Amino acid sequence: MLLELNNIFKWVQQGGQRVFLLKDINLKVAEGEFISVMGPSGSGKSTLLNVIGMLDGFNEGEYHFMDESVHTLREKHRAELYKQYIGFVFQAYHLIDELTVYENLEMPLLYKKIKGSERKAMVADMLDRFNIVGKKDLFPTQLSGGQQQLVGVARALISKPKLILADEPTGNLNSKQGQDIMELFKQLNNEGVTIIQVTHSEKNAEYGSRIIQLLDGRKV
Amino acid sequence: MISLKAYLRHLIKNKLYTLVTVVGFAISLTFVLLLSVYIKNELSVDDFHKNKDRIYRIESADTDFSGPIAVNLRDTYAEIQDFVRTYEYQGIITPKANQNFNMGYLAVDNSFFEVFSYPLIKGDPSKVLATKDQIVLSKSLALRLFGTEDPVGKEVTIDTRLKFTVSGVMEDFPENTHLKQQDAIINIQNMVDIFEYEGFLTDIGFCSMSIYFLEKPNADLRAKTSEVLKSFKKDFWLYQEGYANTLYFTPLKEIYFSDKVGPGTKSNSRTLVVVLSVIVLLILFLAIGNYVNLTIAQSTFRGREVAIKKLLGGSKKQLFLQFIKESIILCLIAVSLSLLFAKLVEPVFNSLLETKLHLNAQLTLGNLVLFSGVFIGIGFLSGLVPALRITSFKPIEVVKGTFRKKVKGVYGKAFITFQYTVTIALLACSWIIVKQTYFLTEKDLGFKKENIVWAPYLAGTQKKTAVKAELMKIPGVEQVSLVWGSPLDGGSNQSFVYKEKPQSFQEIRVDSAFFSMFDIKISPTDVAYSKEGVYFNQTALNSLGFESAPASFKMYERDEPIIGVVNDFNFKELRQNIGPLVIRQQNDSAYASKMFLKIKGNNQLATLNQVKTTYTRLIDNLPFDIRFVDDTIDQWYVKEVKTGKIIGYFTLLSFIISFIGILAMSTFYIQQRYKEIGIRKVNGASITQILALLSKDFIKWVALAFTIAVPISWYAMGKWLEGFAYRTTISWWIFVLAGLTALTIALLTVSWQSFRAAVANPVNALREE
Ligand SMILES: Nc1ncnc2c1ncn2[C@@H]1O[C@H](COP(=O)(O)OP(=O)(O)OP(=O)(O)O)[C@@H](O)[C@H]1O
Ligand SMILES: [Mg+2]
Repeated sequence: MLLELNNIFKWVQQGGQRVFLLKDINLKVAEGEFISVMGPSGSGKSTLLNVIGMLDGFNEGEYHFMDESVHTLREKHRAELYKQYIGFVFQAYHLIDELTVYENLEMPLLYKKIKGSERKAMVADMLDRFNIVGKKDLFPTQLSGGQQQLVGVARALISKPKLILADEPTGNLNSKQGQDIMELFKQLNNEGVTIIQVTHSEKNAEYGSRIIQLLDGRKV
Repeated sequence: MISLKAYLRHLIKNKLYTLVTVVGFAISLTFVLLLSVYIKNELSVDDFHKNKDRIYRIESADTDFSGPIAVNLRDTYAEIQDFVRTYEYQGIITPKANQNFNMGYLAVDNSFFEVFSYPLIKGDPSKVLATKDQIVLSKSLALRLFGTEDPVGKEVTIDTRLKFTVSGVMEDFPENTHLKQQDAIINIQNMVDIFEYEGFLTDIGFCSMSIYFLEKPNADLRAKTSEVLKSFKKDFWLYQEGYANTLYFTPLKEIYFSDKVGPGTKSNSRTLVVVLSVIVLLILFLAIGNYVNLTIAQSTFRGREVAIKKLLGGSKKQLFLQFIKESIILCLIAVSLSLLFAKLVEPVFNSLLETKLHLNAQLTLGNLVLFSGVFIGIGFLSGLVPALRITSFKPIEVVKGTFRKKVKGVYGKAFITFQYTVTIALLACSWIIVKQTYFLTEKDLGFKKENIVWAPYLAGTQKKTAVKAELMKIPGVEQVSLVWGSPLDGGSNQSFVYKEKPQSFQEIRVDSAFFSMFDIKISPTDVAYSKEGVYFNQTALNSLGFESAPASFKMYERDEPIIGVVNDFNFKELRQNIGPLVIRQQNDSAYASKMFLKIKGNNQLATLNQVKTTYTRLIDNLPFDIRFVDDTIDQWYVKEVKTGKIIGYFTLLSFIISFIGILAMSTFYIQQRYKEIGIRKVNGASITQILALLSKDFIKWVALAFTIAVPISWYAMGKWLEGFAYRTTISWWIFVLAGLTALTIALLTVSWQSFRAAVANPVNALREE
């Protein structure tokens, strides 16, 4: 089991009242799964993904990630955990504008203290695999949305995460570009990477092996 | 490396931010740098003397001292090892026949070079002044007189009659000593011959020199101060009669800051140095404050970068170090720029503060290490706050896109208000100083000063009539007047007691041409004209308590008829009121010190050239300067003009600083409201309405600064003006104008930023998040 959520509750205090964002979520994810999270706007999809990604906390329940009890860990420890095992892909790409494509890809490796020659090989490998060798010296603003998201996915993958969390990765893309990303996810999943994605599109959800529906913060 | 690269690209992309931050910081640092070097120099004055801890100057608030005092004190007090008396004078030096040069020199006792440590290039300190006819030349005078020839052993003549042998060459006095540059040093015994005055060194009453004492090692001369004062009160007439009451032995290191200005000495006010030190700290504080604020304002852009990096594995420590590193780099760029600026403005600075900084000489390894250390420290400190703020962004915030809202309210409104207080106050002060200076130079002095030139009278008493006649032959010359004492120098002092009240009169002696030349009105008294008759000014009569002029007045032994009363006119700087004045008539055989010529308004250059040629011939090629009276009077106020300029420069600097401050502020503030502006526009707000909305807050702060600045500057300027007998008014409109100027600049700065926001396409703003 890669991760396991047991009776997770998350709430915020608003006007003296508890507003629940997540209610009693139970979820087991095995390695190699490809899960699509769906639900109407405001149903808590992003919140759930952030909890899984350890970017956000929760108020009640247990969360086990690769035999670690996340709910008992300190924030610093949690950060180390996600930095090591999780790659994030966002709707808004979130590339650093001042760095070239090449440098954006290289950055996570620098923080992992990987040696120069090895870094070079890994970046070259990614560029190759995503067919963006020709773009390596361009800055993000010089790329189309689809290309930027491609770099975003490549960057999430470069440090070889076990799990990829993608929040509406195709939200800003046209259907052709979206389809390309989905194909890519499928391929990655075949290679053994676990993927959890949030999506509004039935068609994209179909790429997953399992679909989770949320409604008002509750799994249905 | 990568983050550095990204940082450089960030700087290049945000040119305005970079320029404002770096150049603004550099300009402030330039001032800090120059002022620090200046303060350091001022504090190191006279540090180089080997005996610096044992040398004292005897000082009194009321008088200088006379020759016998030094001898008496040395003979009485075992603490005293040696003394040096100094007297400053000017003369003419002649190295070869028909080569005359003006020079200023210091006459000293022969131990001068042993007591003080002024370096000699040639000659032995204990021998160069051993005999009376020896002279030590400064390096620059030696070069002027003899070029590359060795001057030692050469004969020179002083004042065309006294022969000297050059016994040594000294380095020009350095900048950091309390003695003024001198062209030469001679033995003080010579003054007896130069003045043709036997008592120069022996008359107890000739109180015109400075006396320095060298204390014996481990002795305590200052402990004897009260004892010496007591004996002075018993035996020294100045103290007996109550003219002088105070006495100090001032240590060498403090002479430069002493209120007492002795012959040939420079001085500086300690207050000025303290004020400047405070200003340095203030500038540094404001500059760092601005830097921090600008960086935080920018951090709204960089927050995303940081958050992404955190998400991708960067630790807080790594990111923190990245920001500190960036700050140090930016600081170093600013520092390098400021070094360049400092070098560029060094001459202006030197002339403003009448100093020589010798920045190049400051480039020692030790200074560089200190300097870099200090600025890396500043870089670190100024990077600290932004680094702490920015690295505390949480990655979840980038995912949610909320970090922009988080950097809220960090900007000190107090800081902006403070900056504007300084700016408005300085602006008001500098305008008042300019107004006062203008007032002083334009004030009617009670006499005419136009088209009159003057020169020192050098031809000797016998030639007076001849000189006058010769000069009157020049067509452009209308009148010639020879005088001893004039409105330019205030004449000489006459102190006496009248009806048990001490009186202090100034006296000038003039010929008959004087009154019409300066257009000074005389009301004759009933007393018949006589050659011995004197004129009083109105103030003199008032001071003596006369309603109208008496027939005669006995100042000393002789009763002198008063033949006229002159209207009060100023004969001193306008710092002082018009005092009592007595004008005596001068006959053709009396000593004259100055020569005034009234010249025609046209072809003045030609007239002056003729005057020069004729006069040079009459005085056997002695060098002299000829000046316009009104120029000389303007010269009285150079100090005020300079103060005005210094304050002016600080005003400019504070404008730059507060401009940067409010720029940072508005950038930050408007970024916070980018989305709001977009929404308002979509809903129909006009550009003007948005500009008004954004500017409202800034006006509030400037208004607050204004209310604080007005009383402060009002008070400070009131104090300053108290130093003048004649004052301009502190007009309300000056403050209003200063406030409006500051407000205008603040508004322009704000609108620059808000205009960009207001005209931007709202769609962009709304899509941003
Ligand atoms: N900090 C918070 N305080 C209060 N309410 C919050 C907070 N964060 C999220 N919510 C609320 O939680 C609910 C779930 O938000 P979430 O972003 O997870 O929705 P979502 O399913 O991702 O919606 P969408 O499809 O529009 O992205 C929303 O109703 C939102 O208003
Ligand atoms: Mg969402």
